[in-house]
Amino acid sequence: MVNMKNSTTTSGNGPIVKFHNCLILRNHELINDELWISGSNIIDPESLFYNEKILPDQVVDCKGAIISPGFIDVQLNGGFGVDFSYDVDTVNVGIMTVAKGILAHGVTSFCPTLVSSHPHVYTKVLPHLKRCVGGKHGAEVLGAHVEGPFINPEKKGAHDQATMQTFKNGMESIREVYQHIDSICMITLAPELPNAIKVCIELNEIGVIVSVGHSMANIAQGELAVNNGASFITHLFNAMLPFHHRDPGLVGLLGSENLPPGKIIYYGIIADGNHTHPSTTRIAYRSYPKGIVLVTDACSAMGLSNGVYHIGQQVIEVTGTKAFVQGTNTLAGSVATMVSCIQYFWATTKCTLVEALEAATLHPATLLKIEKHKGTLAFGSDADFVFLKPNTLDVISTWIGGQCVYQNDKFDELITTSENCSVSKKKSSNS
Amino acid sequence: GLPREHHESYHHYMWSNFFKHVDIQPQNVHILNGNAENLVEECDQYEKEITKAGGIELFVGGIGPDGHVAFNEPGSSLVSRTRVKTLAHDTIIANARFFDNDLTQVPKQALTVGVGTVMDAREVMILITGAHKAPALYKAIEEGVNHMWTVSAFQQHPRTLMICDEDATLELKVKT
Repeated sequence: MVNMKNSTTTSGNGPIVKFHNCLILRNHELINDELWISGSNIIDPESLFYNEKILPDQVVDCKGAIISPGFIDVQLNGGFGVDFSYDVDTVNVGIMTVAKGILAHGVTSFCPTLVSSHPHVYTKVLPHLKRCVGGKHGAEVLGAHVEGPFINPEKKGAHDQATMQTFKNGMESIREVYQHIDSICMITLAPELPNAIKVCIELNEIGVIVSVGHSMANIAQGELAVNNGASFITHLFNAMLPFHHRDPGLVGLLGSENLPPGKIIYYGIIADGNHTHPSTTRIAYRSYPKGIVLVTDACSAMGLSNGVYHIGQQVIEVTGTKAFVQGTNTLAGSVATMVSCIQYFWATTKCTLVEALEAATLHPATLLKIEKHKGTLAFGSDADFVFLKPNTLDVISTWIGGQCVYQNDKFDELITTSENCSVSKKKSSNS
Repeated sequence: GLPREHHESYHHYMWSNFFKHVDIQPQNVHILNGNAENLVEECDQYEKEITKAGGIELFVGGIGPDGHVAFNEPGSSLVSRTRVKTLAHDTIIANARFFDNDLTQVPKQALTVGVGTVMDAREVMILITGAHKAPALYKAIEEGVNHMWTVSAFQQHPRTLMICDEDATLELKVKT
């Protein structure tokens, strides 16, 4: 097992650990190089060597594992029997259950997602979904993703029509419905609704990420939203107009030349083999690879076996790898895990492993404007990463802030660690 | 001088290609600091550190196409010590490829150990590979000791080892 001692160092930031014999994702390449951390950050060993003249406290032999930045899931409705939108009274326990459970899937940060709900749900639940650092207790919470209720009823998908709202008071409507805006990281809205564009601008100003989805918007309406602050398309293809060759709708944003120069429009894809035909995924990805963001959109049934569960106000039935609104053919949400989405996406599109990993790390981090600290293994970033088995990408272990927060027992023997027997270290580093 | 973190700095070169791969103690590493406030003092201090450490046991170096060792360009004194050296134009051109082929970006001076400093080492090992180094190798070992091909000074060192590949020997007269 990995044993992290809490010795202090002259850099004052916690133990210095060197990971070697690994393939790390750095500067868009998988290279055979070392990863050094000090306390909860990734550091530059060269600077440590020349400036502070110290050696690591611990050396970890990764036996050839791949080290990827920790995965970031921006759309996750629950899991392990928990539904953030439904289990309102126990949300404080629910969020911890999910945050802990997804560590096994390599997720180190996520946005707990609420489907369209009545205002009382937001009032009760949002305070518990605000930003919270990760650790052994679970993945970091980046703030809530409120998917609705300002959406188009014609594209409600599995959402309850009775909860839907309009922007009759513009930004005030946002405040009235959600109340706790400071807990919100991202909002999905339908940009064709009256006053939506004005709201986009104001949301952008207060730092909320705006996504378009559950919408009947044509491409022009989509472009207007992106030019006024929208930067994401929620689960591309699902709950929007289908691609039409004369008006490609929101899907057409992937080929638009009417977007702000240099701006990337990110789009979520649920790569579980169910929500989108593999050909569709390939076409979207090949047309606009730098915008792809893998999301699970996992529902409460994720992590559980076949049965009947709740999502929002609806009843869902799980059979095998699919979850339907009971009695219909409408997909309710997925039961996919983030690592299985990456594996599926990599196999289906035959993209490079780097591209598959960046779709779940660098891209969502950049979308959320946190790429300076998350989503990469750059010097100075948070030490959130995941060890993966080469070829299969099975999760060996998950690390947050330099601490090992999950270890797959099946792969126990793959990592060994040793205390550094450097003579130059203070003797006090041994407890 | 080049910042330490510059990808073409000597600090970076030595870290990437050597130090990170071996178990050297950081305190035992001494690289001349091109950004020192007083460069002359930096060089003098370096010589003192060498003496303090007991002298150089083994000097490992290469050879330039113009026969220089370290940055002791043609014309350098054969009894020189660690100092600031102005680089020959040929050297600047040869190094331009590391600076996007922009001659203005290439440093014009370097801190270097002197020929005399290396002669004081107990053993000297020079590595020479490639046909483009063949004329320099010829001048270094088959013609006289002279300050225009500074590596020739090591003919007079009691323990010099020159390691070369076939191509580097193409200009030698004496068949080996």
